[in-house]
Amino acid sequence: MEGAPQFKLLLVGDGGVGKTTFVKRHLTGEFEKKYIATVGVEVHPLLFHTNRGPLVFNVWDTAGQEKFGGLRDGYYIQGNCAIIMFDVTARMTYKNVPNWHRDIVRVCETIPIVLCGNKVDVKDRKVKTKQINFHRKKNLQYYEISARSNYQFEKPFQWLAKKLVGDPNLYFVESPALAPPEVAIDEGMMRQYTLQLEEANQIALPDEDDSDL
Amino acid sequence: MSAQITTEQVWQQVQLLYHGHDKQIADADRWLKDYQRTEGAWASLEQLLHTEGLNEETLFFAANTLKSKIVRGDLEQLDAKAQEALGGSLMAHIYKFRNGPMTVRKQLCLAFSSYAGEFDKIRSNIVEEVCKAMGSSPDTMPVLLDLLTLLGEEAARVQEDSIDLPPDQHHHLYTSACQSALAVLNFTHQCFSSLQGDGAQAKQGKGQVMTCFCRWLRFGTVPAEQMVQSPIVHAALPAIQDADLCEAASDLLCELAYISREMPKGLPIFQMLTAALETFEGLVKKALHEEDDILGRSITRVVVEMGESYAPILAQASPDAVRMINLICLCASNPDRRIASITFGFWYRLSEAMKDFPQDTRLKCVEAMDAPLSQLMIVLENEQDEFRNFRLEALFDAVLDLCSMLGSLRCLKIVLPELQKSVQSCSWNEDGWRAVEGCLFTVRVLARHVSTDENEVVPALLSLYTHLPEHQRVRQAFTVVIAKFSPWLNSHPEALRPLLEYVVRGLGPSKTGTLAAESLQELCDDCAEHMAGNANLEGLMQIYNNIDSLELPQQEKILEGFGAVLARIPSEQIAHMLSIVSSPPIRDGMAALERHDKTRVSMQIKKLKTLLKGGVSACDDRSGRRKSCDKEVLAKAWAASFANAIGLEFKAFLSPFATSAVNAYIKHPLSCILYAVTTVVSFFGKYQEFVGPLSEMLAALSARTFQVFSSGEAFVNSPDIVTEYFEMMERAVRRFPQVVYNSPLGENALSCGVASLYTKLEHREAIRAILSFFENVVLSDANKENHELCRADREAAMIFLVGQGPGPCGTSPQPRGQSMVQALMYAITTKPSVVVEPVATILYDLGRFMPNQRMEWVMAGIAVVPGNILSQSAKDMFVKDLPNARDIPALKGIVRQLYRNCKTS
Repeated sequence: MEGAPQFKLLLVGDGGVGKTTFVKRHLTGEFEKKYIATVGVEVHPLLFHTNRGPLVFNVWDTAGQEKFGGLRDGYYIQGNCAIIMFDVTARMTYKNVPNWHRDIVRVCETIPIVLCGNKVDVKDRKVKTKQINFHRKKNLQYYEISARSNYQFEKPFQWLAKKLVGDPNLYFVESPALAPPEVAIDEGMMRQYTLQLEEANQIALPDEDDSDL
Repeated sequence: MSAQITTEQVWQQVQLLYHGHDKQIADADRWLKDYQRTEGAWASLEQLLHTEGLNEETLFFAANTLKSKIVRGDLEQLDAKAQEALGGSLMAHIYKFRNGPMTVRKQLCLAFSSYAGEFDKIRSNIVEEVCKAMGSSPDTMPVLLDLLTLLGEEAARVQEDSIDLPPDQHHHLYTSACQSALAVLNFTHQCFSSLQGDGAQAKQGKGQVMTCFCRWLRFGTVPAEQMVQSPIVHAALPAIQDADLCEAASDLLCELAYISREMPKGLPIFQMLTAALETFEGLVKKALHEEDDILGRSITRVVVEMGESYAPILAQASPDAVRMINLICLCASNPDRRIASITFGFWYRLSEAMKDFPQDTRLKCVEAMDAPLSQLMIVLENEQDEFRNFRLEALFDAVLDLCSMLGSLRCLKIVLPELQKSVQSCSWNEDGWRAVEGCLFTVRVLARHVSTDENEVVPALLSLYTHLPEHQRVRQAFTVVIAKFSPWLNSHPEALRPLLEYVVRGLGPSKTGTLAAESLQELCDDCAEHMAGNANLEGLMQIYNNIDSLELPQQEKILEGFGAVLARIPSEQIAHMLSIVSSPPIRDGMAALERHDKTRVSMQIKKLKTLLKGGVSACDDRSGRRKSCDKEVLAKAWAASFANAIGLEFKAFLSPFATSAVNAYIKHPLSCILYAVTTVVSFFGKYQEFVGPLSEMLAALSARTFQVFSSGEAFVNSPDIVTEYFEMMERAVRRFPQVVYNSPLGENALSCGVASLYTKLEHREAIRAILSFFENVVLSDANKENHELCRADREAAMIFLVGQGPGPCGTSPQPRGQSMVQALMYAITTKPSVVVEPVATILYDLGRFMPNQRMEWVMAGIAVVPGNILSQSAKDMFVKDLPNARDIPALKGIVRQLYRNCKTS
């Protein structure tokens, strides 16, 4: 990791959209089953191997909730790039995207920014794709992601890396070690499902993982 | 935290926050957050900002903290004098940092904005004061413009946050901004007139003026008539071509379009902007011709913002509508897809606006819209995810929005000639396949929206398969197109065969193969009846016989589809067909079992299961389109045929089947799964060696069923599950009664049956199934051919019925039989007449085997029936007549009389 170029990445968005979950998917990170609000900031150095050599994103995972806000935009100085995250199952989090964007550009002006719609694995989606237009007008890159299932985890980082290195042909040569994907159902459903499975397991039948009939 | 904090300490902590390692950052973060809250911070921040030679980060932190303290209401830490002095101090800092660093200056300006909002509680016109103080010198003009820009932004933001509040509760900053807006706009005009020439500094100044002017338009203090006279607005139109000014100019024009969307208030601006459409058209063409992305982007933003803001006017087919739509189409043709995609939201906005207007108005408007669809047939650029996402997320929706306005047929008529042309061009252009693929993508989006009666365009389109260039991507695209037309093909079976062959040819270990398998499944699902015809079925059988050569995911898709087709085979042939289909995997699975090849066994089980799943979901799906009662009939017929066809050969698979059934039911509690299990119980329950696994399976299914029936309403809402569950349990009682009585299975089922009779369930089939279960428990004659066994069964049943179980509705424990009879009495008084006959039979059988208990239980049961439902004399008469009713007809007579008495009372 030493000697690899380092970039300060600001990870912002409303509380509960999944910023910490997302960043902790990488390598050591364990999927946060419970929501623990980030207080202030946590910095996670994430190493990626590209065809142009290794690079490190120092991800500044900032608090999304006002009451835990800490220094808020005080963390943004010398940010090289940013990810603005919202939750596709919560309209308000998308509505607040312009506010996060405005706060970033006031400090960092023209850094590359990715907009990420998280939780696309949840069936009850509230922000439809066609309602997501902010990125087009502001020239941001947009990705739909699912922190739970690792869906498109690398995409925001790869796009930012291309922009920061100035090489449109840059790509990741190794997939980062990610925590194993979770099933695509919510926590309540998950608990219920686990209970049901436990009950089913109490009957002495041969194991078979495929539950489809 | 100590009140005595030195600037040195702050500086150190700031360094650690921005440059330290993990723990240092966390500690510094905590320290600085605490520091921010202190009263002492005001003084040390002042000091820091006065200190020379500090790095940008520290100065930024100081400015940012000042802002945060004001925003969070820490001004109260200062006395009135210090509060007033803070304004001057902030202005002094802003002046000091007027030439940078920009980050520090902006934070100070934001601090001042927040201060102005707070301060105006006491005194207004602070904005005008600042304009006067700093506006006279060219040296301070840039920083003042910056300050005013941020003030305008903040005032608009606080207004957005309190948009639902009444005017008297609006934020002070907003109120203040409204009061000062005219002064600020006048100031921007003064600044603008002072900026002469085209030098870099003048341009920078003009850009700043435009941005500031733009931020103050939303306060609505300047009438639109006056706005269109503004020299700044006039300058914005040509400035859009200037690389240095285009951002600010396009922002301003977009804002003008946005604020003028309400008519007639915005009419002057609307007229001004639409009068400039010709100029804009020239700019769009210039940007396309010169491949000028900056100009292309700016002008596209303006035109699209106009289109979106004026969509309700365009939807009424105004004279400018066609022109503006054409211009947006031109923007959509920009080869830079990031620019083209700016236009996509417009089609949605327009399609929504059109819903408010009559059809004939809409038609006039859509006359103009053939072109955009052609522009949206974007050729395949590359295989990268970004392009794929762009297509699937943005383009897909834009095509659908156009489809909703133009109609799918009209869209297809536009696409077909384009497709034909691009197919022809492939003979001389080796890259021509890209255009073909682009057209096919559009067709794929439209396909599901085309009427199945269409007879003109779709046949011509689908017949192109013989002329398509042989390229993997084209094959993949057309394979998907065929699948998307499957509902149409179901109405045009004559076209099915060759297209089916086209799809099948793609099968194999590749992405094309995967798409072919998916398409084949869709065709099987949607055209199942035609696929079940001899010729197509033969082809499917060939694929089935060679299915092991395909990749597993492909196998699964095809098997599921095949299952759906098999479920459509006429009933007289299905048993034969299923035995043909099931014998290879069973044979192979048995052989694998003998050599302990677990993987192979699993594979063959999976095959059978997938076929079964395909059939069941086909039945389920078909019932959605047909009458709802078909669902059960179809699913039952299919499951029964399947289980019977497989027959005893299936025994090796019983345990895995049980696991699968239970898991499937846990995931999706569907009545048809219970039916399939009933069939299996019926078949295998006769053999002692299977009773253990079967009863365990029933226990697991019961547990899930009770979860479903968590409330009274659940019984009413799921009568199919009630029916199938009690039929399943009845079958269990008939196959292995003693096992049922001697395990929780019996008690749970009986309690569930009792509970269900106390709900509002009135479904006749369901009630019949519950009572039939009770009847079988009481009679217990499944083994009547074997007297000894039959007697043992009855004894077990009697012990079971006199045994203590939970009382109904949570009352104290009582004999199970008593709970049952009490529920029967309640059913007579509240349920439909369907209960009469089975209740009479049950009471008759009870009288035969347990006469004393019957009398006791009936008396207890009838006693709790409320008097307003059944009079005491009617109750007495029933109890009196019961011992005298010596056969079933007599019993039916007195039960019917009881039923009538209830109805009449």
